[in-house]
Amino acid sequence: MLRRVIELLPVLFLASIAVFLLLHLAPGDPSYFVAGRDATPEELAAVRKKMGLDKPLHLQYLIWLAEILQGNLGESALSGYPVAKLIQARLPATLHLTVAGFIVTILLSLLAGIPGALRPNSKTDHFWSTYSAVAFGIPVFWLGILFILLFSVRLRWLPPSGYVSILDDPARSLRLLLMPALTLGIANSGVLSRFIKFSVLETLQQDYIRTARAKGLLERVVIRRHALRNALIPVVTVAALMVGRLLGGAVVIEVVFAWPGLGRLLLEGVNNRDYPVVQATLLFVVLIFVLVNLITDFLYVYLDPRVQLERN
Amino acid sequence: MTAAEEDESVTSVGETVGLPLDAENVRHPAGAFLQRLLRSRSGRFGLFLVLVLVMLSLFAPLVAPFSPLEMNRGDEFEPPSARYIFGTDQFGRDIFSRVLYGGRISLLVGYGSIGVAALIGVGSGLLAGYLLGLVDTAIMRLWDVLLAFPNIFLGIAVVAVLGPGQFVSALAIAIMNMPHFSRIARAAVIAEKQKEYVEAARALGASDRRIVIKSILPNTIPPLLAQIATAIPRAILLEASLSFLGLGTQPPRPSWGNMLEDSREFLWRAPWYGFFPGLALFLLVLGLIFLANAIRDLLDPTRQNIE
Repeated sequence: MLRRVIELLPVLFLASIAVFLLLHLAPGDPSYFVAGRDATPEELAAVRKKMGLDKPLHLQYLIWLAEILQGNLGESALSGYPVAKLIQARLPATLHLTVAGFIVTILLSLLAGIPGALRPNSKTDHFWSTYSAVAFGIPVFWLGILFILLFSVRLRWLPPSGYVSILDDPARSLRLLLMPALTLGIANSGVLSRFIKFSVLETLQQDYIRTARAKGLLERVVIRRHALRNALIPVVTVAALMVGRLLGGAVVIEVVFAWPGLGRLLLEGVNNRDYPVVQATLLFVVLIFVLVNLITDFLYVYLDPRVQLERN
Repeated sequence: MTAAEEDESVTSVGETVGLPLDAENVRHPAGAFLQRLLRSRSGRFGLFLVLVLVMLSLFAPLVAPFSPLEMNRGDEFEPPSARYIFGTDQFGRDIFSRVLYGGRISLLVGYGSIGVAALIGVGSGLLAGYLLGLVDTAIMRLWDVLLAFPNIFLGIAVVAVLGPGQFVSALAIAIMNMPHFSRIARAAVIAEKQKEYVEAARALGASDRRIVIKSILPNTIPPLLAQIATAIPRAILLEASLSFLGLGTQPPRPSWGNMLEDSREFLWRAPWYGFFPGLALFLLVLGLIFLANAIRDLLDPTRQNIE
């Protein structure tokens, strides 16, 4: 386990270098973006000094990293606000979206994946197979637009945008979350439902299932206690990998539903060339992504005693 | 092959196993391959959708009733009609014509970026797998870092550095696809290197370069083809996403992504604007996915046995 954690460090280290270099790879002097285009040479020099740009690159990196490790993510070049505060303000909205999206993904995937595996080639199987293919191919932002066209424009049932924390007003929060979460969930269930179907199909062919049936157990018990339980173990890993897709999908969905989350913060940062915001947000996303992968590995070992990380 | 079996294959679109196949499976002529492709329902359906959309985009200047940039004063927000079959946008531009031209960008970026990714990815993978040691470690670590970024964030990072645009988004998509090609090629080289025919070639005095290109490269083709087939629809989706976020193709030049972004403001006045560009994108991606599944089924010997 510890080795797995240690293996992650170089990746995180290199990723931090990549994120740091973003600012320096961009054409033009970074101080321009902060000081503005019409800054005088003196102003530029002052900004350069303040940003530490007059120091050698490797030193700049170390200073930057030290600050970040202490939780100082810098200040927005545009507003002067601390970036940590900006991320803190936007994080809840993205959490709402990804958590709700994750729940919908899991529910839909189980719903779409299991019936087809239990009755291969039946009408149900064909229906859910078609569903999965469509869910896999549909562009997530178009699906969001279609929902708005249907539920907001045509039926006038749901508001097309807006965000309220579930802690402040649960009913309204859920109402606003419904379309974005459904969009995200459907788009991600395409992959996961197929994975579930295959996993269940494969498990049903195992010897221990035959044994369970031979023991005279009810089919219901065989399926629930023996087949599904085992089939869903590998699903856990894939489900966690979905988090990367969910985060990516969230960026697009935040734009579709005008959702004030991290994705929009990142995009605003890119559009304003606000590098501290871009760097910190990207680093944050990478960290979450890498941590989720790590947790997945642990979960896998925990759920399936046959797997041992050290041997890999 | 039953419909269910065909459908199943959609799942694993994301994953292609990088194992080389036997030499006999590699060298069937393109014609025979196409024939077998057409035998599967998924292959026929995919090929049909893709061909129709490719043709329409390719011959956009002949098919499109209007120029994609032409603004028809007084015809703003016209609903679909005989004159404007997909309706018009806020400038009175014909959405049908813009969709046709937008398809060119999707196809160009999709195929172009995957082509570049395959070239550089395979090249670096062959190098890493053959030389091993420090070169291998360096190349593979680079890919690890790239893979630490979820796709769309990598795209955003590249655009943050180089500024938005069609070329930059294509470059970003190429970069994020390189690791997969590289890993496949590397795995193939490492597996093939042990085999007797490589030793035989070396005993005959063949140079390293010759061994890699003549003996090893052909064996990597089936898994690479499968990877290319699955990567293209994802590249096209990603290009559309980046354009939708305002980072890819810039207006007034039409792309399906930026048209959909544009449409968001007018969903109440012009619902058709938000519908048709997405439909085109969806159909193209769906066709490519079905095609990819059929291709992968043909290249995967275990699946052939099932047939």
